Amino acid sequence: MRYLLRQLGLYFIAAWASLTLNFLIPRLMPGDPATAMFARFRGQLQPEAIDALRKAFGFTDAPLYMQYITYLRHTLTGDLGLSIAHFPAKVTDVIATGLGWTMLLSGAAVLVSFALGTLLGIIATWKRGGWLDSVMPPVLMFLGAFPYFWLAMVSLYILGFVLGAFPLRHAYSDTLSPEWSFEFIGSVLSHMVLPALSIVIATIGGWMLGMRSAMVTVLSEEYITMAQAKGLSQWRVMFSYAARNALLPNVTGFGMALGFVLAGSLLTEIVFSYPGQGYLLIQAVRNQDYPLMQGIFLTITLAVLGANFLVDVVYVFLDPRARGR
Amino acid sequence: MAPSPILSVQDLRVEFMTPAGPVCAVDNVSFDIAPGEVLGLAGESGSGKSTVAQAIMRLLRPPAVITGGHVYFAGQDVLSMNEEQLRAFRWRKVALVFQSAMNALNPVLTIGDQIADPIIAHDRVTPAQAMERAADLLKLVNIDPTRLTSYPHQLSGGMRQRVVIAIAMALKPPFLIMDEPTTALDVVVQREILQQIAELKERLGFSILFITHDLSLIAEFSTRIAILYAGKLAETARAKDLFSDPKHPYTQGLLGSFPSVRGPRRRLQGIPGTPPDMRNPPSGCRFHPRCPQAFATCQTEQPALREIAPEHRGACHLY
Repeated sequence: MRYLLRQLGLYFIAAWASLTLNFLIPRLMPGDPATAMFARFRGQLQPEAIDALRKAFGFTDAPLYMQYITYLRHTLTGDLGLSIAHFPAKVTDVIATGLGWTMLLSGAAVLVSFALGTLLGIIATWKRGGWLDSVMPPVLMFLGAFPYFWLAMVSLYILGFVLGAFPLRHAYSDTLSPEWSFEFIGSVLSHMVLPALSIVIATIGGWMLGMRSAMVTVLSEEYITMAQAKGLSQWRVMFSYAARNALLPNVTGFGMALGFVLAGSLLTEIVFSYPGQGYLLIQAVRNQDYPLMQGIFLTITLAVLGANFLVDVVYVFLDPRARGR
Repeated sequence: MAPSPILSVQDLRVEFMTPAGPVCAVDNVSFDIAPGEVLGLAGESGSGKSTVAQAIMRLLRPPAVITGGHVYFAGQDVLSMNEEQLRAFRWRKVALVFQSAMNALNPVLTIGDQIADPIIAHDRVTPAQAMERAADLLKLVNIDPTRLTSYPHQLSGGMRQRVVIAIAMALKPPFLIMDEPTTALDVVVQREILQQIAELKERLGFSILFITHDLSLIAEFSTRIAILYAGKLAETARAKDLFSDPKHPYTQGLLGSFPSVRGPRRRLQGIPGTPPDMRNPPSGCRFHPRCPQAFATCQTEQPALREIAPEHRGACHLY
């Protein structure tokens, strides 16, 4: 427990540091982004939008430390200002929608990829030299070696366009509006399959190989021989003795992957026009929607920190040696 | 002749299938162990001691392969058992105390779980009953049963070794193989553990195959001793005969290389040279390059293990 509390403290410090950087960087740039934008949008931007922008950057005439305090107060109370591109929607509302879709798509894909890849790694190593062990790693590595956007576009072209088996774009059918109906959920699921599949195909090989090499190391340990000498069932030795130990390095990787999930799988969301975080970010960059970008960066930072903390918790659960430290 | 042996190893041969061709690690090793007996199997590192132990329980993994011989346990042919028979045989009939207790225990399971594991796998018991028996087993090796929920890294080296012994006792097997059970421990703890093993043996009456590189350790403890050199048996004899009248020059060398507590002070001898490279073993007697008494025949002919005194067998051309 003390270990977790200490980690939590560290993450708070990291979060504060990134908040501060988020505040400082726009102010350290020569000139300032707000002025540049005012110039670009002169005449096109509504006066309210200019006000929103001003507020988002805290470009008042107050001294820097006052601006900093205002910024912190706004951020901590969840006030990230208004989006330029989606004016007059609040940045938090825009992000909330994108975040939901991203968590659904990438979260599910990463989870499936991790679970399936790890399981394949366990079984392949257990039957060392069997067909699973000799066929799967090269095939998955081959698929994983393609540039991801190419793989995504090819699967979209063949499965979506040529065969018409899956919808081409967006998270649900245009004719439906979000509601808790079977029709809508079915539409969401069918829109998810293709992008999720492309993520799974691209990443599963890494999980499998990672688990495989960890398993190979663990299998040469004496406690595995001892477990076998005890006359335990194959399943017990394979999971409680071998996989439980081999899982630890893969869990670290999983935490990192989970953190980046919330950054939105940028390429996936672009190729499949999926309205998640990554898609929002690209749009924000195109429209020079600084408040939204700032908000998304903040979400990504917090997501990475949160995922890391989650891994710490899981680690404590999985590895007794991490407890009581 | 003694009562029928509980374990009989006959002409056991184990080879390591290396890319450069097979390397013979255990070469025609035979011995019998009678019920209640303690056989000390001694030899240098790399002489094949642990390989023998693992071969008896069929724990060898490629590239090590049993290429010949038989292992009979109470008349049962171990080498021809199928998966299921083997699983039932392991730990119920023969348990193994591993060399280093740190590596033999699973770091992510509590020691309670690890003791209860074989009980659950072999007996029809509930997990709660298995845990109760695990608590009794800990008491048997003088560890407080509250330790059931501890993890291996929370125990001292001596306690870990006791836990490993407790796990070996879990099913009260009639036969135990101890593979250097005290090597990783300091001398005082070593002593305690050996005493504990002797006491348990007194109470439970199992037989032991005790593997060690340290002859002094098994001097008073074993009934008979077998000396292994480069995968072959060099000498087998009753313990007291072997110490009072070692026949093989290698045994003589081994006995001369550690100090005796009693008796006059003498210079330690040691054995010149190093153990042979098993990929390319010497011709004739494998010990001849290091043997102070070697003569011409030793370089060309392998000596057979034969009776050279009552219940005393040696593989040496001197006799």
